[in-house]
Amino acid sequence: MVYRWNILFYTFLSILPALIAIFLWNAIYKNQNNPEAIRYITTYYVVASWVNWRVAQHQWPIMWQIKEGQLATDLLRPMSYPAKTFWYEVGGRTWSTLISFPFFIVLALAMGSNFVTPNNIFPWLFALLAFVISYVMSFFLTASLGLLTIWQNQPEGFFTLYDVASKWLGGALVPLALMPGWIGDWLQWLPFAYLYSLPVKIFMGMPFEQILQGFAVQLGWLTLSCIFFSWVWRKALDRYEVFEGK
Amino acid sequence: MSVVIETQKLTRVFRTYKKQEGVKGSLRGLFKRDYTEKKAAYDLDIQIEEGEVVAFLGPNGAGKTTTLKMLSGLLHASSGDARVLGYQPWKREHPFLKQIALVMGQRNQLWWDLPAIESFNLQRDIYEVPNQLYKERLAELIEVLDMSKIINTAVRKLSLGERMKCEMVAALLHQPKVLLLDEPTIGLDVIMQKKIRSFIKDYNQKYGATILLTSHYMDDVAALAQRTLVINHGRMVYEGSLAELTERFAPNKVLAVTFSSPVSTADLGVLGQVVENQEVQARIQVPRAAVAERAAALFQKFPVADLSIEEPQLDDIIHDLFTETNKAEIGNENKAVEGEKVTELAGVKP
Repeated sequence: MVYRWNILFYTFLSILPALIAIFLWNAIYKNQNNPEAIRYITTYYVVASWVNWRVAQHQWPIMWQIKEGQLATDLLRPMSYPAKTFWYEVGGRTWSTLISFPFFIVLALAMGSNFVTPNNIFPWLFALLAFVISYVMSFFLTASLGLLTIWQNQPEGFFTLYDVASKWLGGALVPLALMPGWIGDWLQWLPFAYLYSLPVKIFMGMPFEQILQGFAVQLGWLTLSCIFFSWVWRKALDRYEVFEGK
Repeated sequence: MSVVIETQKLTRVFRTYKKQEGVKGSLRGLFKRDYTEKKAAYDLDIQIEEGEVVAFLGPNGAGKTTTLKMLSGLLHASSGDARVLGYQPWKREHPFLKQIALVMGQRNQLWWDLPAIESFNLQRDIYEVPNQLYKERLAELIEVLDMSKIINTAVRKLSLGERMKCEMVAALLHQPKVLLLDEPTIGLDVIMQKKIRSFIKDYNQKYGATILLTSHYMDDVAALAQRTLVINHGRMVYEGSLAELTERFAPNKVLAVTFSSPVSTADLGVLGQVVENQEVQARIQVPRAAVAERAAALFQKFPVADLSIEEPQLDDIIHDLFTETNKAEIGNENKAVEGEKVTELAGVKP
């Protein structure tokens, strides 16, 4: 029962950042008589908060597995540790998505006409595809980060920095469109925009050519992050000294 | 009998940062770091045949666990080679991993919050054990270890002994051919230790599994091991049977005698070294080969009421062996240092 309440509280928390952001931006635009902006911001934050909470940060569980010796147990088994870690998180996220779905439905309904959904199926499908690619890319990036624990056994500060920086630079905290022009242009070439922003922008309506361009860049970053992870994983196995615990 | 575990000059070196104490040391460490290299295992040549049970002994920090970790593939060797069942362990190929098990007394592979049976089911899937075979093996293991009442209890609620039994089951469900046991009875009570020992022995006899076990409990070694490897400071210092170990490093036995009237230590001294003399009870250390002769002499010369011949405790033998090898190690280091000093004095650069 304790675990179930824990999951419920944790899931409820996933919509709080969206609520706070929506109320804040509504307050900012309230006196400007700009319903379009309010609709944009509301839709953006409902979808972005969903993406934000679904894109897993693998560095934390990997860090704890290394510190507590669980990695050693998994390395002794005839299975791929990266695959196991990935699918374990997919299972957990799928379950939490199912549980959180009603909360997001309520949130979307509560926003009323300010939450705008696409009027055909293709943005939904393309957004979902972009989300799946971003999920896999996030795995490679954050799992590489988590493996740094093998070299530096107090990486928490660096992980938190990555958490905040990736979300800020990826548009999960503030839409990239609201960033100063040259920053926004520069951020389009970093992987973080393709972790968080791309699925949201596709959902909110993006020209098809831009969607294709977005996928091309996203797949490029996916490939690079996969290669990087493979390299880090090989080095990690060489270096791993099997900690006996904290 | 084929060789199942073979190592050639197996070496593992750990490089650790040597932090100076205090704030100054911490600040200095930001700019200049001193590292030390420790050879946890050095030039190990091991051969273990199929079906053997071998005890791997050594003091804390000797390199036992490091060696087991290399043989199971957890650690890469710094140099040298190892082959277990024909595989190089640190390549961690799945066919290799399906045939070995490493059980570490201080490590838990079971899901903490779930009943043990859930972990067993997961092991079945990971190791791809056919369902029927899994059920048969599980039933057998549960019966032998008397675990039917605990398999549906969350692991975190089990006692240490119960958890250890569950760990053994989880390790053996896939019927490994090579079993690496790192202090499997550590922290267990006497009854549980006996159960685990008996279980391991039966498993070896029934399935012909090759077992390499480390333990600080000499009862484990005496009960299970056909052969012993002794390691100290990363190096192999002895390899052979327990009987040979006893003969080589314990050349004496002890005559524990009770007299009808007190006998002086000086009088007893002609028979051997008097270890203890308390009025009518004495303990005399005599050479192994001369036990019969000295015992006969004891009966002839003194009023003996009772006599027993004691083998040295295995703990004491191992302790003496470690002490000797430590002295030899220090001696070699001192020679090396003296050699450097002589070289310096002679004006020759090292």
